[in-house]
Amino acid sequence: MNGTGARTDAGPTSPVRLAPWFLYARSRCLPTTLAVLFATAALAAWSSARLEGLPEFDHRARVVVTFLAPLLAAAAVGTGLLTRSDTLDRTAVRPWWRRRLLHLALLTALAVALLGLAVPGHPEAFGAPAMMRNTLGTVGQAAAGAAVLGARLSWLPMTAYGSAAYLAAPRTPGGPAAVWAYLMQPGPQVAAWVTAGTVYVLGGGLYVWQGARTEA
Amino acid sequence: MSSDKGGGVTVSGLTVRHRRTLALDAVDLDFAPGVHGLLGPNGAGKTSLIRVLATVAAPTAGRVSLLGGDISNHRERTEARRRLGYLPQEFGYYPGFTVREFVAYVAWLKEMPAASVPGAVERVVERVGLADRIDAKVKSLSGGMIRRVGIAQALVNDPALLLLDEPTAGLDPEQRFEFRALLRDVGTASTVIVSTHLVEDVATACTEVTLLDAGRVAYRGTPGELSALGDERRPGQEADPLGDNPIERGYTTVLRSHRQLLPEARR
Amino acid sequence: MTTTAPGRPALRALKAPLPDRHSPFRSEFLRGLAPWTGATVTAVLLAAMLSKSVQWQGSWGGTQSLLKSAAVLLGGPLAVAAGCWQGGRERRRGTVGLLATASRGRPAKTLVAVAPLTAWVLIGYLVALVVVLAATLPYAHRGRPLVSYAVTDLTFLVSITAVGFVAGRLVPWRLTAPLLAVCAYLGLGFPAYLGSDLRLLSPAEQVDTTYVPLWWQPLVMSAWTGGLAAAAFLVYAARRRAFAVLPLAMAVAAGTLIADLGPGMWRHVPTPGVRACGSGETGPTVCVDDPDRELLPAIRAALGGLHDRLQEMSTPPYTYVANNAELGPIDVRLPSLSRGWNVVRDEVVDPAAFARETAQMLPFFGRCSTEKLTPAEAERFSKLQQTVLAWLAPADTVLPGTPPHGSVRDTDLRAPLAAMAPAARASWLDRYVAAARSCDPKKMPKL
Repeated sequence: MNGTGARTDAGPTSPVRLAPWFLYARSRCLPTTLAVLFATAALAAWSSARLEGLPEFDHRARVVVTFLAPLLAAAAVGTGLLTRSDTLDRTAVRPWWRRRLLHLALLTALAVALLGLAVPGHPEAFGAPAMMRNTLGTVGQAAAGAAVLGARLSWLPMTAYGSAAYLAAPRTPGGPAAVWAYLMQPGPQVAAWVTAGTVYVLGGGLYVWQGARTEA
Repeated sequence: MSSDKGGGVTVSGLTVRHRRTLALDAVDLDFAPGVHGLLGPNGAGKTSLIRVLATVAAPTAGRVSLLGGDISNHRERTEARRRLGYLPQEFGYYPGFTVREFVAYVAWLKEMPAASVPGAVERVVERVGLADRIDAKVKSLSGGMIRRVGIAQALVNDPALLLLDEPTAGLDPEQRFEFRALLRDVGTASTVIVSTHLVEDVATACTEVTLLDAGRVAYRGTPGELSALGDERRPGQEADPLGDNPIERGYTTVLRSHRQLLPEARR
Repeated sequence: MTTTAPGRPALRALKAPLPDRHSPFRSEFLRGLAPWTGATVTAVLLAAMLSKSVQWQGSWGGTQSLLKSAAVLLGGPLAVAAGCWQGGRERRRGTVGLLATASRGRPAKTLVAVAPLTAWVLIGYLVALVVVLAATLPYAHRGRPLVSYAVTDLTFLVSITAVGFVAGRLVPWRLTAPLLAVCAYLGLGFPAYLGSDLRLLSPAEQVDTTYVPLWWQPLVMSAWTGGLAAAAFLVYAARRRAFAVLPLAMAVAAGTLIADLGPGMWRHVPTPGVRACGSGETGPTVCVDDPDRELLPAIRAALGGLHDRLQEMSTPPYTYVANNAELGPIDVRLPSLSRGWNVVRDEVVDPAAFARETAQMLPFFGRCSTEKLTPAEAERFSKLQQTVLAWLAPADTVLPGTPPHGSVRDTDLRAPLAAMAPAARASWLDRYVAAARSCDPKKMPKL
């Protein structure tokens, strides 16, 4: 079973495959989540470049990209919070909230970085700051959704809110709309950043404290 | 109501393959009306057999005749399904439905005439002892009650063939006692096949026992004969503690001899 | 063991007309995801319409076309996600084995799972439709609501729910529902970026509200969306998959027809030609199309200041006529009245801007080309024009689309004219009008 020395690195008992972080990553379907994040960033980069290239549009047309890409990324992160062995997890020795915090923080950082890199140029109009702020806010909403509705449905509240904000947001940025329609602000609005940050802290905090709701 | 519902079940040369594992290996069996117990170690093919008989899974090879119809023919298979009741090992349900609605839904799935459904639902729910919870949502019931809902949905159409996979899991001893009485009652007119690990179910409720091991039939006989096998003294051997009660001892004896006879059956 | 009390036949008779408690359609209709989806569709559509209420209240065409956009671009993704979620229900709940052993055919089993959800989506849309139509009714004076819009929207919603359901049954992935919603939004909204008639393939696309669909347009559109969905559904649910070819062929034929005909499926609605005029002893005479007559008081009030200042000059009193009428010698064209922009619910949004736009259409403005003038003369020409405009129709708000006048505000521009005595100003303006009519820079008065 473990006769050959150097060859066990690739086998089922190899130290990498049994390492706690690797097993944890597999239990949370992290590879799929990461794949979706990369694909979303690539798609966002391609479509924003394409939109800018179209004759009648300029960089302001990226509003669609800065709206949809964070939603998709946050949906991937939120559904990746699913734990099938929730009851067993709660019997662990160390409190789970630290792991949840680390998991959420790492995924958020990755999503924000990837998506921010996808829309270069024109930071004042639907560029990297807007994308990063939106990602932060939507991930917070997805985390809150996972805590309230369960990981499988975590994308629902933020999609409903996002669609409403997309439609109802006024054309001119700033003002009270910077708070309730923060997803639609072009970039430098401080109120929108504050809103997104608050949503992230509250939503993420709820998830870290409660964990994803167990699904029946 | 003890009219024979006719047909019974005949299985010849049944082979079931899951990817690369052989779950059932050219099994020949027949089941007449009565209560039949299906025993065997895990992985022996009990659930595969039940699934094939329930027409959930298709056999890789062999012929299955249910209630007078060959299940490879679509029309005869549909006819057999109308007279079939099945309780899977992992019983799934819709949590938002009430007990009445769920059992009525299954009755509709079995194409019961619409006029007879309400009465049948109430009768069968009372039979399993959930009459006071008939309008409660399934998600509000405890595990044992949910399993009883499962038994109810299997019985709603008064089946000629009843297939139960681990039906007593989650039931307390009193409920198991009532359940065995129910089985005996149903088995007077229909063919009941129960796959179980609990030997006292087999001992008291079943008229015939089939033992499967590694996809083959290891033993067929009555529970009494199986117990007798376990109590035979073999000369020159230590009296190993083969089991806590006669049937368990018979079970272990049969398995050992089966495995010695066919060593290549071990996987 | 029944639980109904004996001796209450009247009560039992009351309960009789209710749908049978044991019907699976009733169970699926009342439980689970379906009612929530219907409520959400209504809420989303009404929220969308409410946020843009200034654009549609008062116009049937505007109401229905905006509702169509909302239903397709918002309701569509919602419906497809709900369908996908419902499709994955059997896998999530573990009832796959139980359903496989049923004798009911696959089409019946699939229908009983998807039909209640679809019914709720349709109910959600219809509730929203009734509400917005009732909201437009007090302000709409021309035309009437059309059934064709509702028909296309309803068939679209049914189709997309069915497609989502089939996807949910086939693909066992958690992210399918949100992914499908995003794809639906992109797929339905993206054709707007195409220039050709292919963009009309998306149900969200539409033409101007002065166009009305022909009677067979909703049928063709329904054949397109419904055919695709029926093909997908039959491929999954029917025993003989070859049946799916029929709706697919129908869909392809309809799609080709749509791409071919393009806007030919609509016809232009000519304006009725009946005019209503408002005049009085003071104030301007305004004539608009008869259906817009409720706007007459607001327009007359907006143009009152312009009219008074023009009366100081020796120009004849002008009649202000609607945008599409033929102009007589003393007619001035009004800006086109578009709901949600300069006209909202029988009121003029920005009277000063409205007067400015009207003033720009006065006969002595903008008639001269600057080609034969030197740059200095052209600049003086333009500056004088701005000054007179600022005097006749002061509008300190900057009109959308027009560049601001450097950093010069209207009050500064009109200051020289305002400082003159009325008689001097009147003669100055008359000289300006004569110079503007003859396009002779030498006749331009000096300030």
